[in-house]
Amino acid sequence: MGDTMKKSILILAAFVFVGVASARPYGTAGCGLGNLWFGKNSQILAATTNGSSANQMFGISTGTSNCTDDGKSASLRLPIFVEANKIALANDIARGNGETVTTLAKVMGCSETTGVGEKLQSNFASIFPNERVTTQHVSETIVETVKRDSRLAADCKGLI
Amino acid sequence: MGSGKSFLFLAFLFSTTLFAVPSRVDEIVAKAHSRQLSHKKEWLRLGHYKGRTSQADGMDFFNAPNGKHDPDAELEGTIRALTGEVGYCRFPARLDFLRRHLPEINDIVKPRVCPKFEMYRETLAARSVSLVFSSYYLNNPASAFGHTFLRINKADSGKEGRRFELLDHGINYAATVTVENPILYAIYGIFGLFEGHFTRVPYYYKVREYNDYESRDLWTYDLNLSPEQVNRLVLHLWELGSTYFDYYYITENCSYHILSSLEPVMPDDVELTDGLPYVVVPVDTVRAIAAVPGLLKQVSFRPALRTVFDQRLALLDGPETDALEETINAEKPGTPRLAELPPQSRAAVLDAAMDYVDFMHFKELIKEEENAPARWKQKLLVARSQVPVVTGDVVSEPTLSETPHKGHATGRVGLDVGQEQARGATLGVSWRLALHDLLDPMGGYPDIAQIEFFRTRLLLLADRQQVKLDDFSFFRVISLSPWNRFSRKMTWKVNVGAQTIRDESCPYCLGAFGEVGGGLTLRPFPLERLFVTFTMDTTLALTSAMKSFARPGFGPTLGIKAGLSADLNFLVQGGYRYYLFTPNPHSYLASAEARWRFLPDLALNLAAFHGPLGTEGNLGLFVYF
Repeated sequence: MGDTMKKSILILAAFVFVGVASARPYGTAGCGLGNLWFGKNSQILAATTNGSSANQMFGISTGTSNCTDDGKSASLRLPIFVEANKIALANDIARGNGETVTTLAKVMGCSETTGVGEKLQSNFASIFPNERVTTQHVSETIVETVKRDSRLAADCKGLI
Repeated sequence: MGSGKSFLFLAFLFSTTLFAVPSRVDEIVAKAHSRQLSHKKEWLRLGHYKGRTSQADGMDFFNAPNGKHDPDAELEGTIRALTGEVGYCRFPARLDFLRRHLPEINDIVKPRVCPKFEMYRETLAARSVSLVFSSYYLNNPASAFGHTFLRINKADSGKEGRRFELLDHGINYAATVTVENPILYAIYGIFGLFEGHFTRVPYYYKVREYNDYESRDLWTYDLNLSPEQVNRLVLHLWELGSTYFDYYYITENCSYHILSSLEPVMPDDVELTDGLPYVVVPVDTVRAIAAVPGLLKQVSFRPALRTVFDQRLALLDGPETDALEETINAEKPGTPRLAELPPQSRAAVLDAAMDYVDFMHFKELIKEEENAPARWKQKLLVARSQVPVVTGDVVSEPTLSETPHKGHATGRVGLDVGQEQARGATLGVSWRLALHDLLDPMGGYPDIAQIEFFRTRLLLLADRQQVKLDDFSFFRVISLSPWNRFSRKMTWKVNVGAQTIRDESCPYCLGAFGEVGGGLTLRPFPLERLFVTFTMDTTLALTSAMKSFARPGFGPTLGIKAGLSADLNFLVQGGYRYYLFTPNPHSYLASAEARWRFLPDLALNLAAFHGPLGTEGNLGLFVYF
C-alpha cells in the first residue's frame, strides 16, 4: 500500500489508541478523602497542620493537580466531584435533597437543580449498591438515571 | 558602496558603544525611581515588606539578589525581570501595579501568553472573596485556637450564591510539616523551621475536612471588595504561590498570612496586620477585618456534622428519640419502634442516625474498606432511601452574639485585692495572653472549653513585703463533653506550668507543675448552662524546696459550672488529693469563683479557696484587651 495509506492508518490507529486510553476509568482513587488524608502520599501529621494534607498536591503555581478539574475534559468533572464527596453525596441521595446533590446537579449542567435529588433517591440502591462501590459506577449510574427521565435529560445539558 | 559605507557604519557602532546610550529599560527604571514607586505602600505590601525587609523567604519571590532587604533594588530587578517570560508570568500583580503607575512600561513589556496562570484564573472564576473561620478544635494543638482561610467565590456572595459554594476554591496557608516527633513538631513550629505555603484547594475538600471529619463549625465572612480588588487579589495569590514564608506558629501563622495576602489590595489607609498583637490568634485577624468600616458584608454559618445532629435531635419528639436510640444500639434499621412511626418520623430518625454514624466513624467510612461502620451505614442509607420523604434543607442561623469575632478580647489583665488566712493581705496582678476560660463571658466561644496560653499571677504579700510568682501556666486546656444518650466523649484537662503548693507537703513552695485529668461531664437538668464534671486527676510538682524534689499526686475532682447568663458565670470545685514521697500525703481543695462582665471589656471577679493551709479570698477586676 502507498505511503499516504500507511500514514493514514497510523494516524487513525493513534486516534483510536488515544480514544481508548481516555475511555479507561479515570484514576480518581487517589483523590478520595481517605487517600488524601491517610494514604501513602499524605503527611503523617496532616491533621495537626491546619491544612489539607495535600500541601504539595494543591500548590497554587504548580499547575493542575490530579484532584482538581482544571484542564481536564468535561467528562471527568462528574467523577472528580463524586470521588471527593462520596459520603455526603450518598447521604443526600438517600435523603432526596441536600447541598451536595444540588451541587452535583449543577456540575451536570442542570438549570433546575432541586428535582434531581428526589429522582435519584428512588434509585439509590442501583447507584450505591454496596459499601465498596466505585466512583465510576456511581457516576455512570447517576448519568443513566437522569437520562431516563425525559424532563431532566432535557434540562441537564452537561450530561456526557 | 563598499568599504566607504562599511567604514561609516563601523564608526557609528563604535561611537554608540563608546558613549553607552542608555537602553529603554534603563530609562524606565530611572523613571520608576524618580516617581518613588518603591516607596508606595502598594509596592511594599506586594513584596510583604515590614520596614525594609520582606517577610517572604523563598528566593523565587525576589528579582534582585538583595531584594529581600531592599525594596528599591527589588523594584528595579522586577522591571527587568518582567521583560522575560519567567518574570512576566510569575508576577502579574506587580506588573499590574507598574502599568497603573508607570504606563511607559508597556514599551518594554509586551503581552505574553502564560498558560498555567490563565488556567488558574479561569478555574477560580473569581467574583467575590470570603474569609472563612473554622472554629476551635481542642483535639490538636495547632487547631485549638481556630483557623482561617480564604474562599474565592464564583458568585457575588449572598444567600443566593450560597448554594454552589462547594464548587468555589479555598486558598489556604499552612506549614509543610516535615517531622513526625511531636516535640520536634512543636519546636519547629514555634521557631519557624517549617516552610509555610499557600495552596488552592476545592472548597468541598475544606468542608469535608472541617465540617465532617473534624466536626468544626465554619463561619464565613463575606468581604466587600470591588471587582478590581478581587482581580488584583487573584493576581497576587498567584505570586504568593511561587514562594514560601517561614512558618511561626505564634506570630506569622496561618491566619496572619491570610490577612497579609489581602493587604496589597486594600486602600493605603487600611492597615490589617500592623494592628495585630504580637501573638496572633486567628479570631483577632477576623476582628481586624470586621474593624475596617464597610469591609465586612455579611456573616454566615455552616454547622458541623455534630451540630447538625444536635439540631435534628432537638426536633425529635419522645417516641422518635427512643426509636433513634434503639436504632443506634441495634445497628440495624429494622427495629420495632422505628417501624411503628409514620414516614415523616421514620425519615427524621434515620437522618439523625446517619449523622450519628458519620461523626462517630468518619475516619473508618472514608477509608472505603469493608468494615463494620461502612456496612451499618449502607443499611441505614438504603433504609432511608426507601422512605419516600425528602429531607428539608438544614437551616442554621445563630445569633450575632455567637459569632466568633464578637467574643471577648483575647488578652486579659487583672488586679485583685484579698486576704489569706496564713499570709495576710494580698494584692494580685494577673495576665493572660489568650484565650478563654470557663468563667469568661460566653458568646463567640465554646461554652464547655477552656483554652489558656501563658496565664500568670503575681502576688504581693503586704504583711511580709514580698512579691511572689503565684501561678503560671504555659498552657492549660479543659474540654468538657457533656454526656447524653448519644454522646459519650471523655472530659479531659491538661495544665503545664508552675504552681504554689497549698498544702502541708511544702507550704507555699513554688514548683514546676503538671496535671492531666480525665472523666465525664453531665448536664443533670435541662438547663443550658449547668454542667457537673467529675475527673480523676494526676499531678506532678517539682521543687528543690522538698527533699524528694518530686511530688506526684492523684485524686478526684468534682466541679459545677453554672452560667446564669452569658456574662455571669459561677464555678465551684472540690477535690481530694493523695501525694507520694511526702509525710503529709492527704490533701484537699475547695474553691468557688464568680465572674460578672458588666461592661464590654470589664469583668468583676470574686474568688474563694480553702485548703489545709487555710482560707483565702479576693475581689478583682479583669480587663479584656
